[in-house]
Amino acid sequence: MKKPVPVPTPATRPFWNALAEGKLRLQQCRACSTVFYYPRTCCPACLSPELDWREVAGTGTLYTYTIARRPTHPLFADEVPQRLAVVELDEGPKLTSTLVNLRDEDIRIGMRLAPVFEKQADGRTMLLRFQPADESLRSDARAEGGARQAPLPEVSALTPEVLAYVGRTGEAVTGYPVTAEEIRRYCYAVDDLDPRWLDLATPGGVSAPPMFVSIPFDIDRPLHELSEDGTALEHRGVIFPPVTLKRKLFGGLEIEWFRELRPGDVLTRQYRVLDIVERRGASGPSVFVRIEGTYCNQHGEKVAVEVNTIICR
Amino acid sequence: MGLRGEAAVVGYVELKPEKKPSGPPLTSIEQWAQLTRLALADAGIDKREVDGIVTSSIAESGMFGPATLAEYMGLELGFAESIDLGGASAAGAVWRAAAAIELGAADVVVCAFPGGPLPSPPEPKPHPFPFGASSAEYGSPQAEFDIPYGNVAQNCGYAQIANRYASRYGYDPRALAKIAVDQRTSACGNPDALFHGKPITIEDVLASPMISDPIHMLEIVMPVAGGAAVVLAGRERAGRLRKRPVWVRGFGERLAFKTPTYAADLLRTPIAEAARRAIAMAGVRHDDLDMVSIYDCYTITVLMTLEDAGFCAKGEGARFVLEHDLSCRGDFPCNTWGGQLSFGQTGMAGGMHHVIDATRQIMGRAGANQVRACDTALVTGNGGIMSEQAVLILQGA
Ligand SMILES: [Zn+2]
Repeated sequence: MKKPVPVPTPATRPFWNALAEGKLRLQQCRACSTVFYYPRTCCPACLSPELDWREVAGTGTLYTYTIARRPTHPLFADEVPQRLAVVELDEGPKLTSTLVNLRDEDIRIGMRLAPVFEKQADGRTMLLRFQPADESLRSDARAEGGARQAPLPEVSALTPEVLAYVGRTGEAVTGYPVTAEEIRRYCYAVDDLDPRWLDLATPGGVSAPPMFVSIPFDIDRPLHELSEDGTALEHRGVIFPPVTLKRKLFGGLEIEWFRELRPGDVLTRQYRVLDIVERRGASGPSVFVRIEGTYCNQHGEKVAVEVNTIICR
Repeated sequence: MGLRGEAAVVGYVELKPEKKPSGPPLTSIEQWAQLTRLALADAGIDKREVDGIVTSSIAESGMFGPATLAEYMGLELGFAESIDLGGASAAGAVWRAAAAIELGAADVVVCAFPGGPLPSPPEPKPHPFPFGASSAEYGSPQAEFDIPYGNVAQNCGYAQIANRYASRYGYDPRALAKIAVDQRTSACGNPDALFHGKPITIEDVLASPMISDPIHMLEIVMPVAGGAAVVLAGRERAGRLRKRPVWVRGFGERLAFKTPTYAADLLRTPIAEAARRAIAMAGVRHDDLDMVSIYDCYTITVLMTLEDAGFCAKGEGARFVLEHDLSCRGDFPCNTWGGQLSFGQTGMAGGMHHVIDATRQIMGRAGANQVRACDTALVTGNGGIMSEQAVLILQGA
C-alpha cells in the first residue's frame, strides 16, 4: 500500500490545481460572503451554489496540535513524530495540516504560521504544510532527519500547464442551419430509418436523431494543418490540454438529450474540459481527458450535452 | 414533547471481553443471534415476542442488514433500524427503541452490538476500512483533506482537543490520570473486566508512554473482543417481568461534524446540548442522579463531558475530579463497572456497556460494585472524535 494522496473530484480540482502552482484558493459564497474550507459545490452556511474562488495568502494561527509519538497509521511511520495541526486561516476557515521547519518546544497554540507548499513523492501532488511565520523560529529539522526528504518524483504527464485546463471553456461556435435533406442523408448513411427522422408527414415535422448534433458544423481545417496525431487541437472552439503523450484513443461518448432538433434550427456548441486524470499501468501512464460539449439552439435553449472521454497514452 | 417514560430496558447481555478470543470466530449475523438469545433469556421474554430491532452495520450485509437479521433469526418486525453513530450508536439505539415502543411501532425491541472477531474468508479481501473511522473512499472529504496529512485514527483528534482545552483552561495531567485510576478501582470489583485485579496509581498513568501529546497510554482504551445487547419493552410487558424495569425517561442527541478540524468550537462539545435536552425531558436535576456512565474512550472525554453535561463549570473539570471519588464506592460514582478504560473497548459494543452499567445499577444487580439506592442515572454515548453525542436518562421508578 502506498501513502495516500488526495484524489481530486471535479468540484475540488480547482483547489488542487491552484495548490500545484503554489497558490491557496478558497471558495467564497456570493450570497452570504462566507469563506470556507474544504471546497464544496455549495456554501455550508446557506447552501448557495453561487461560489467564487478567492486567492488568499495562506497565513494563519495554530488552533491546536498534537505530536503523535506512535504513527497514526503504519503508512505514516516515516513522519513520526507527526506534528498534526489544525490551522485557522486569517480568513476564518480551519484546515488539517502538519507543522514543519520548527522545534517541538517552540510550538504554541496561537502562534503565527506561514504556508509551505510541499511537492509529494509522486511528483505532482502538492500538500499544504505550515511553518512559523517568525523566521527566527524556523529550523532545518526536516533536513537533519535525512530520511524525511521526499524521494525522487516519478515523471507525471499532469504538468501544471495540463492541469490548468480543467474547467477551461473553448470559444462558442455557431454552425449552419439544419435541413431536412441533410438529416435524410445522415440517416441513410448510418442506416437509421426511423420515420421520425424521415417521414415528412410526421406531426410537427421531422426531427434529427440524437447523434446528429455534431453534424451541422463546418470542418474547414485543411489536412496539412492537423497535429501529428491527426486531430485538430486548437481549432474553432475545440479545446484540449497539451498532454505530451503521443497517441489518442476514443474512450467513450455520452449524450444527454434535452429537446428536439428540427430543420431550420441553428446550433451553437461550446466545449469545456471537465476533468483530467492520470492512471498508471504496467505499460506506462494514461491520461483521461473528459470534455463536455453543450449544444444550444438559436433561442438559447439547451438541445444536448455530450461528454467525450479521450485517452492519451 | 419527548418520551413519556413508558418503555424500559428489561434485560441485557454483556460478553466477557477477551484480548485473545477463545471461541471460534462468528459472523456478525451469528453474533447478533447469540446476543439476542442471551439478552432475551436474561429478560425472560420469548423470541416470538420480538417485533423490533436496532443494529449497527452488519459486516456481511452492507445493505439490507435488518431484513437479513430478521430472516436469519426468524423474526417478523414492525420496527427495524440501522444506526451509524459510532460510539453513540448504543445510546442512540436505546432511545430510538423506546420511541418506537411508545409510538406503538413495536412491543419488544432488541438492540445488539456484536464486537467479536469475524471469520476470515478463504480468499482474504483488502480491509474494507484501511484507515479506520476515516473514509478513504474517492470523494470523501477525509480521503482528500485529512488522511493525506496523517490525520487518521482517534488518538490525534482527542489529543488536539486536549491541547486546545489546555491552552484555554489549563491542564492538570494528574486530574486526567485520576479518572483512569478511579475507574480501575471499580474494575477491581468486576471479575469480568480486562484489568480486574490490576490497580493503578496516578504515577503509573503518567509514567506510561506518551502516545500523542498530552495523552498517555493508560488514558486510552484497549480494543478487545466482546459484544453486548439490551432488550426493551413497553409498560404493560415490562410490568409482568420479575426484574426491575429501567425506564428511558429522557434523551438528547447532537452531531455537527466528522473531523474535529471543522468543528465550529472544539471546546463547546455536542454533549452540552444533548445532555441539556435529556435532563430537561426527564424533568430531573443533577442532584437526582445516583450514578453516571460517561463514555470514556479517553480520559479527556470524561473530563469534558463532566463540564458540558453541567456537573461543574467550564474549566472546573480537573478540580471536580480531584475533589470527588469517581469509583463505585465514591461520592460521584462514574463508570462503576470499570469503564471502557478498564473493562476493554469492545468495538461498536463499547457504548452499550455504559447503558448496561446504569441498567445493572438501577436493577440492583451490580454485586460488589452496587451503588446504594440507585434510581436515576445519566448515560452518554460518544462517537467519532467528540463528534456524535447521545445522552440518556434512565430511571427505576
Ligand atoms: Zn452562503
